[in-house]
Amino acid sequence: MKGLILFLCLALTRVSLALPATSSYLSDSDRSRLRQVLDGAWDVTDLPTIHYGALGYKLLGQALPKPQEVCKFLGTKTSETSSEALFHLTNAWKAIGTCGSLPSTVVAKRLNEITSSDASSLADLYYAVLGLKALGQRPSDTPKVLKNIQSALKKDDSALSLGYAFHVAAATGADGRVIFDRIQDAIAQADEVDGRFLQFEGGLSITALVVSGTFNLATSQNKAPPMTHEQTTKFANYFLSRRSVQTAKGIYSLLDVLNILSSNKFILPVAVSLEGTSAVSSSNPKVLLKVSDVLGKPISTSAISVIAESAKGSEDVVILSKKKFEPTQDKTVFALNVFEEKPAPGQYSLTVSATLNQADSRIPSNIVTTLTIKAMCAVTITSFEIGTADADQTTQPKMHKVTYPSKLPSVLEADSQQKIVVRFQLVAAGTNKPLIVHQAFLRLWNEKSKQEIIFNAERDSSKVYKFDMDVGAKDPDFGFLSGEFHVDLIVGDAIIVNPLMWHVADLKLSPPSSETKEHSVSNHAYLYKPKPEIKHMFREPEKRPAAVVSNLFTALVCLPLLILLSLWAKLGINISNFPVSLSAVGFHLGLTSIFGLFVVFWLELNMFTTVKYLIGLGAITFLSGNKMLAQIAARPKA
Amino acid sequence: MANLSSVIAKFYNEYTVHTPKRLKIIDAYLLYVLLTGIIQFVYCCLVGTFPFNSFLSGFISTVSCFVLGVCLRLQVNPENKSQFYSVSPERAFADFIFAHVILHLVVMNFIG
Repeated sequence: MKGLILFLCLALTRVSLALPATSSYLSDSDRSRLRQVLDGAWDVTDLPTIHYGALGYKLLGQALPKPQEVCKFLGTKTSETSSEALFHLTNAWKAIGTCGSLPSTVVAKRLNEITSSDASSLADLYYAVLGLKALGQRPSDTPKVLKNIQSALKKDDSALSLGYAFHVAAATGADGRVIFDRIQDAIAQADEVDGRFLQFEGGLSITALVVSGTFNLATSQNKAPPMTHEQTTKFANYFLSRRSVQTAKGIYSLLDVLNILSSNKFILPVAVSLEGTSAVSSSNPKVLLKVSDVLGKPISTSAISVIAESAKGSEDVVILSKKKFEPTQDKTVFALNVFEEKPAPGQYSLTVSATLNQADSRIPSNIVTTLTIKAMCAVTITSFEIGTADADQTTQPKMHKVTYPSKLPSVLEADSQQKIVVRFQLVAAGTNKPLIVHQAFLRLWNEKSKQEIIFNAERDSSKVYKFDMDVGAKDPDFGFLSGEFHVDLIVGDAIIVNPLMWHVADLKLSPPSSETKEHSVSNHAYLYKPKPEIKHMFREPEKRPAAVVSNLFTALVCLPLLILLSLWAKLGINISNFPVSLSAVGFHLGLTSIFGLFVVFWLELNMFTTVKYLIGLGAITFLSGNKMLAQIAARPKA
Repeated sequence: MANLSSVIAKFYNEYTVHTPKRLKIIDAYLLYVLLTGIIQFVYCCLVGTFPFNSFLSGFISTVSCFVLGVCLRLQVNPENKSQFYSVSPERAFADFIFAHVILHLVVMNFIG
């Protein structure tokens, strides 16, 4: 048993979560806009436009422009034979109502021919039967028409065909009940979008055709259509989302179907919407709620009690619960002073329930829906301080207090070695609570050059806004401008009623030193200039020792040669023993010239020429040397 | 200390008396090459090796000359006669000259 109750509770919750009401209705501004569209599309020489336009004007409660011309044009079309033209003609004639009498017997005869023909399509039947209806007649052979429709539906049961069939069946009166069972098939074909809309493939005109046909058929059968309130509301949502339609036919379809949805006997979609602005503030403390049908009319003659179930802000803060909306002079509008609950500024989702005091079968007993409202506040600037300090923070900043909306009387001066320091706090007016806003900017504006730079004011953990600007570091942003700047504070947010721009002080920036300027400019310029060309570099020769050192060592290297010669002299080389022969002379000359050749090789020759000469010299030296040594060897040992 | 000086004096006497004149000439040559190499090395330590290939060729030249000189001395020395039986002093000298020619061709090529 407990389980069953729990299930029921869950089921009930589920119902309340479902879409109970549309959030908009066709307002007066929508109507006037639709009328403007009709005025623009009005063409007295186009039969469908006249038909849909005339019906549209009628539904809007407006007089038709240029009725004589239209009647004259319609008079020329009475000899038309196509079902569609006759459908438009008869319906337009009926809608205008001031064109005198139609030669109805001829037209009715032709239309009856179409209805009883086996070759007629569903669209033809629709046009013919509704044309006859406009003449105040019924098809002569109703059972045949219905049989034709049923056989046509067997071939094609698209939403469009079903829509035609519903309208025809509705026009045939009580006999149409054979088609009534098909309503469920049609509704099942609707596509759901976002859980909010129900629509048929093909857009507004087909959806409107099916829904209006459904309700017309239900009315003619006096049986509630097999649709839930939620489904109807979703269809209504779809129609209301198409309020921007631009064609005469679309406008007629929209107005016709909304009219049916607001006046039928079975299901009545309810619109719960905010009247006027969704923002409440101290000057506008009330939330105005409109509970109406889709055309903005009262849903019931009996009283409605509207209760604000809860209002939840960010972080699920509930600011009110179970508050009753007060009725106002307008029967559809209810008011609640939300602001007396002192909501913190921000967005709230307001859950509202509406109950009819006298039950109405067309409307669910309790309509619960959620709307978004926002609480706004005025912002006050407290403790605004502005001053300058050394950029390297060696000294305490010198701060000046400024109160809104006055300006700092003295001109603030700063140079590139200093920084500008600003501290301020924002609170909601009338409270001490610090306020965080989306936009808190400081603008420096030069009146002469019209140059402006906007800086973001940062917020610290204690919700104090602060802003430090190192003048030297920001020099490139200023383009190294000096001169007088306005310092403006800009505060803005969606929840603030008084966004402000306050001229806080005048700031005089002294010109930066030319050195830093040039440095920075060249830095900037460097970025955009071509990079220096990369040239190939040979290895740098190492530093050579001083010439004295080199020469000294050259001399030192030669020194051992002297030692050698002196030693040899001491040992007593007997040059006198030199064998004076060709071979000996040749050998010594050859050897000397070989070493001479090496020196020349070192200085200028290359290896190939050297080797060429060497072969010759070497051969001579080898032969003579060989001979000389042979002689020496042959000599008796000394 | 006196011992050492007497050893040196005795060694010197032995050398002057017993070493053939030919070997003394070669020894003088070796000393000359050794001194040249030492001076080059000192230069390299004091001043630097730049230009490196020139230093290298000069130093290699002295080292090679020394080696070739030692080879010549070994082959010419009468006490080594038993080991270099087939090599006459003249043949050794011819080899020495030939090796020098080749060596200095390379050195000159390398000196840059």
